[in-house]
Amino acid sequence: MRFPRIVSAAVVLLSFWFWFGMAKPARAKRNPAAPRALPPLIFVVAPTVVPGGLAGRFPRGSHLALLSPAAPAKAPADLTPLFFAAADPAVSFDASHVLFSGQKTRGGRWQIWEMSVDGGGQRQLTNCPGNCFRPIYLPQNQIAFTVVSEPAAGQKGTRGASAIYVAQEDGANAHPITFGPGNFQVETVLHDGRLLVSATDPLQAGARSDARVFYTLRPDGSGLSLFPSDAPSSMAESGGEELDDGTVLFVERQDPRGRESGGQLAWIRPGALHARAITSAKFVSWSAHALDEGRLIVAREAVNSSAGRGTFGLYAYDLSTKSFGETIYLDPKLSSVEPVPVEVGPIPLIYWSVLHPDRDYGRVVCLNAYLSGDGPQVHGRPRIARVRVVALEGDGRAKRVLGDAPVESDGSFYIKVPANLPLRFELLSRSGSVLRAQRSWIWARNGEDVGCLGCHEDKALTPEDHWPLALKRLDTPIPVGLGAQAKPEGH
Amino acid sequence: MKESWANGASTRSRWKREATLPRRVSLSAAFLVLALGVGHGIAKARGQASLPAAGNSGAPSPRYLDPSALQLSPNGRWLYVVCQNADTLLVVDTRTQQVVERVPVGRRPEGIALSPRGKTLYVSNEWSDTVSEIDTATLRTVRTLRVGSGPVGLTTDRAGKFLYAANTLGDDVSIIDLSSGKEVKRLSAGHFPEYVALSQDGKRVYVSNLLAQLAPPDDPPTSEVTVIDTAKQEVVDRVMVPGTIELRRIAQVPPAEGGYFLIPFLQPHNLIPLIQIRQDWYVSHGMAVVQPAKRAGGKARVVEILLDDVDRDYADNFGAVVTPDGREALVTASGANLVSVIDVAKLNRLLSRVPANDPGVLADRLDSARKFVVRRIPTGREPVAVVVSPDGRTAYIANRTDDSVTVIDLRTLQATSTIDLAGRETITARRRGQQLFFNARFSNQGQLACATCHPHQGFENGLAWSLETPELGRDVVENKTLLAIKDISPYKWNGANPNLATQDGPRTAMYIFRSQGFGATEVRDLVSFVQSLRLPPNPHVGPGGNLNERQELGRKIFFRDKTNDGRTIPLNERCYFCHPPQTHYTLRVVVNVGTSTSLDTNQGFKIPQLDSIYMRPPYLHNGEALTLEEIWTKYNPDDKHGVTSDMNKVQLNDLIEFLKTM
Repeated sequence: MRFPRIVSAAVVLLSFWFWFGMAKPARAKRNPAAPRALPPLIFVVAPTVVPGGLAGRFPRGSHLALLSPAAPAKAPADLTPLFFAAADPAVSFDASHVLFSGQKTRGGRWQIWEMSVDGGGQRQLTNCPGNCFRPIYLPQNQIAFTVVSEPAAGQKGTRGASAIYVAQEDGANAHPITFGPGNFQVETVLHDGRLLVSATDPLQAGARSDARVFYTLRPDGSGLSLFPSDAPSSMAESGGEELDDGTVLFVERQDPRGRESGGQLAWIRPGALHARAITSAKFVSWSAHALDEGRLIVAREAVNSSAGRGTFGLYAYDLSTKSFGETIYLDPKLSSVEPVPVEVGPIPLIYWSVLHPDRDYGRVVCLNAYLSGDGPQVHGRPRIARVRVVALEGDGRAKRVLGDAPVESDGSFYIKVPANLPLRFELLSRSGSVLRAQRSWIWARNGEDVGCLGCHEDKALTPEDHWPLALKRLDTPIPVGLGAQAKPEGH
Repeated sequence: MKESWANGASTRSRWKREATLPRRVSLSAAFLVLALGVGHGIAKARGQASLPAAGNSGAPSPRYLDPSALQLSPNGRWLYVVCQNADTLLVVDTRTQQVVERVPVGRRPEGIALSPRGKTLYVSNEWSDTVSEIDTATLRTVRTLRVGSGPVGLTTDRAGKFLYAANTLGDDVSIIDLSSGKEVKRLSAGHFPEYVALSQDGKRVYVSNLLAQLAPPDDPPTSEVTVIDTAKQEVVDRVMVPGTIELRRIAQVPPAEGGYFLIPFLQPHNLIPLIQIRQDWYVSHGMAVVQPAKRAGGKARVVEILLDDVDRDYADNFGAVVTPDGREALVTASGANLVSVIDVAKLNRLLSRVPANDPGVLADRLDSARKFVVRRIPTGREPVAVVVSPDGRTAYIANRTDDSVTVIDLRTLQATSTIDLAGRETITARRRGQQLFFNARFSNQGQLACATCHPHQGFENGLAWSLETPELGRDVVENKTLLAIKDISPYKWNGANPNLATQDGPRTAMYIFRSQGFGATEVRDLVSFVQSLRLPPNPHVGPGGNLNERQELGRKIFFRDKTNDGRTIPLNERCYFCHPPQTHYTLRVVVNVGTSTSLDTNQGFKIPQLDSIYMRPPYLHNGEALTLEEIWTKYNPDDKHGVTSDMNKVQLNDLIEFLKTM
C-alpha cells in the first residue's frame, strides 16, 4: 500500500505548504514589516523661512542640527553654534563629512564649509567674493557649489547673478562651469555623474519671473542640456533629488514670482517628459530627500498642530500610497527644513572630461536647424541660409554679433566659436531676415564639441541617421568670432 | 537581482544568496519533488515522455554553459535549454526547477525547434554546420542533419515534414526534408540570417537578418526580414526595415490581436559624429512591427517603435515572445539585464494611430514606450531568450552569462525565482570580462555595450562609424571584428592603440561610452575575454585543409612575384609582403595603399588581418568596397594596393577563392 502512503505524505506536505507557505506571507501582507530604523538626520533649524534668493531664505539666522533616532527624546544637537546662519547640508558618499554653507556673522558672506558629521573639524573651503551656497560632493574628490555675486553698484535691492563653480574637495582650484545669464544653481549630482542644475527659463538675462527649469551638465561645464521637463513654472525650492530608480523629486513652486514659501512636491519619472505634482496643494513642502526604500523625508508646513502657520516640520512620506506618514521631527516654534540622512550613499559615475584647456574655442555642430523649436515661427519651411552667432559680453548686458556661417541644405552647420562665452544663434534667410532666434544662451567650453539637433529641439526626437553635409565640407568648422589668434588644433 | 562586480572574487556565492527562493516556494518545490514521484509514474502509465531522475545532472559543469535558446515542451513540463558554450542541451523540470538531464549535441549549439507533436527536438550546431535531431522520449540524438554554414535559427513547418535552418555565414536558409534528412533547397536570405519563426497559420517562415544589407558607407543601414512561402518553399518577400541592424528573435501576436510580428532591432546613428552619444539616442533600441501582407502579392507593412525612454536606454533587445492569449509581449534587453513587458492592447491603440502613408512616424520617438511598456523586470545577466508556458502564466528567460533562467510570474509581473543551471562554479577573469562585454551600464544612459557594435560575440556589424577625430565627420571607419585579434596589435585603423588595454580602457570611457567606463581590473577582465574570442570554422576550407583547384590557383597568385607579362613585382608590392601568413596575414604596420579619401585625416591605415576575410564585408578602412573584388577593380587604380591591374577576371576570382580560405 505504498501509493496511499505517498498520497498521505503529500496531503500532509500540502497542509504544511498552505500553512507555512501561503498563510504566512498573507499575514505578513496585512501587517507589513515596520520600516527600518531611521538613520541620523542633519537638517536646518530656522526661526523663519522665506521665499526668494538663496541669501535671504533664513533672514533671522539658522543652524544645522543633528537628530539621532537612537535618542529620540534628546533634543537635536546644534552642529553650528558659532555661525550666525548655516544651511544646505550635504553628506559625503561615505557619510563621514558634511558640506554646508555658513555665515559666520550677521551680514557676513556665506561661504562653503565642511565638518565631520558630529560637527567637529569645521573648516572653510571657499573665500567667495560674493556668497556661496548649495555645496554638493562630486566623485573624484571634487565639490560643486553655487556662487551668487554681489549686486552691481547702484542695483541695491536686486539679487546678484549666480553661477556654478567646481573645486577640489579642499576648495582649491575653484572655477566656474556655467557662463550664461541664467542664474544657475546646483541641485544635485545624478547617479550617472551629471549635475542637475536649475536656471531661469529660458536662461535669459533679466527674466521676468523667478520660474526655473532643470538642466543637466557635466562637472566640467560641458554638455548643457534641458532636463526633460516642460513645466515652465517649475522651481526647485530646495534642491532636486534623485531616487534610486532615477526619479527626480523637487518642490514645484506654485507662484512663479516666488512670493510664497514652499510648494507642492513633484517628480519627474524616468523617461517622462513632464513633471507631476504628487502631493496635495493643501500641503506646502520646502524640501524632500530619499529616506529608505519607498519613503521620503519631507520638510512640510505643519498643519493641525500647535505649530504656527509657516512653521515647517519633518515628515515621512510613503511613495506607494502617496501619503504623509509619521512626524519625524517638529519643533512648534522653529522650522525644520532640508533634512539629509547621514548614511553611506552610492558614488555617482565618474565623467572623464575630454576638454582641451589649451584651446580657446569650442565647436558646434548642428545636425538640422530646421528642427529648432525656438521662435519666431515662420509659415512654411523657408530655406535657412546662414546662422548668425550672437554673444553676451561684459557684465552680461552687451550683445555682440560675432559673425555668421553658412547652413547647408540639410540644415546642418559646423562652426568654431570662442570658448566660455554665452552664445545664441539666429537662423537667417538668404535675404538676412531672422527665421528662428534661439532664446536661451549656451556656451562651448575649451575644446568642447557641442552637438545638437536644432535649437531647443524636441527632447523625444531621435534624428535621421544622416552624414551632415556640413561635415563633408573640407572648410569646416568655420570660425565665427575668432580672430587669427585662434589656435590650430593638433591631430 | 542585483549585480555584483566584486573584483577578483567569485560572484556566484552572492548571486546564489540573492536568488534564494522564498520559503513558500521552497516548500512548494519540496512538495512537488515528492509529487513528481507520483506524476512520473502516472506519466509513464499514460505513455507520455518522462525523464530519468537527476542522476549526475546536479553536478556543476566544468564549463560555463551560456544558455542561449529555450524551448518548452507542449505541456510546459520540460524546459529545454541550449547551452552554447557547453555543446549541451539541458532539460529542466519546470515543476522542480531542477536540471534533470544533459544531452550532448554538436559544437556551439545556438538554436532550437520542436516538432509539432513534441516528439522531436532540433538543435542547430553553429560550428558543426549540423542540426542534432533528438528524440524527446529517450533524449538521444537519432540523426545529425547537414545544413549550411553557421546554422542558428530553426523551425519546422506545420506538418513537421520540413525543417528550416538559418545559416548565418552562408547568408541563406536550408530546407531539410525530414523524411530523408537531406537538404532539398537553399534559399538566399539577407545578410547574416540568424532567427526564424513559423507564422501561426503555417504559411510563411520569417527570417531575421542580423546585419544590414551591403551598401555604400554613407547610406543609413537597412535590414531585411526574409519571408518564405512554406508551400512553394520560395522567398516571396524581402521586408526592409530601414535604419536598423541586428534584427533578433521573432514573435507573433495572435491574429485576433493583430497577427503582426515583433522583431527587436538596433537603430544606430553611425553617420552622425560619436560626440552625440552624449545625447541619449546615438544608438536606440526598439522593435519592428511587421504586419504581413493582407493579400497575395501585397507588401508587408513595417512600423518601427523604440523601446527606450527619454534619457534612458534599454540596450540590445534580443528575445521576444507573445503570451498565448496575445495580451502581453515580452522583449528582453540583453545589455540592460531586464525584460520589457508590453501591453499588446495599448500597443495596438498606438499602432492604430499610425497613418497608413507614414509608417515611419514612430521610428524616431523616444516617448512611445511609456504608452505600452507596463513593466521593466530585472533579470540575470544578458537575457537573450524568453519563452512562455502554454498556460500563459509563466515566462522563462535565459541569462546567457549567468548560466541561469529567470522565472517570471506573468500574473504579478514579478520575477519569482532563478533556476541555477549549475554551470562552472568559479568565476574567472575571462568570465567577468564576458559579463562586462554584454553590459551597457558603463555607457552614457546605458546606450551601448561592447556587444552592441560587436554582435554575435565579437563580430563586426558591417557599418562605418563617424568616430570622434580631430575634426568631426572625418575618418569615418569601418567597425572591426574582435575575433582572433590577440596577436595583431596595434589596434584601430590608424594603428594608434598599442594594445587592447589601451583600446578598452580610458579611451573607450572618454570617447565612446562617455561615462565612467571600465576600471583597471575590469579592463584586464575584458581583455582576457576579447583575447579568447575565436573564429568559427571556415566553411571554405576543405577536409584536412586541402585547397581545391581554384583555391590553389588563387594561392599561387597571392604568392606570385611576377606579373602576367613577366615583370618582377617589387617585394613590398606583393600580396604576401603586407599580408604574411605567419602573423594572421598582417604585417601589423600602417601603410598608405592609396585608399584614403579627402575626408580622411590619415593617409595610411593599419594593414588588416585576413583571417576569415570571407565573412567580413564590406572592406577597406571606410567600408567602401562591398566585395573583395571591388578592392582591386574599384579602389586600386594605381596598383598601390598590390599589383593587381594585370589580372584578368578569372585570376581575380581565383585570388578571391583563396582569400576565402584564410
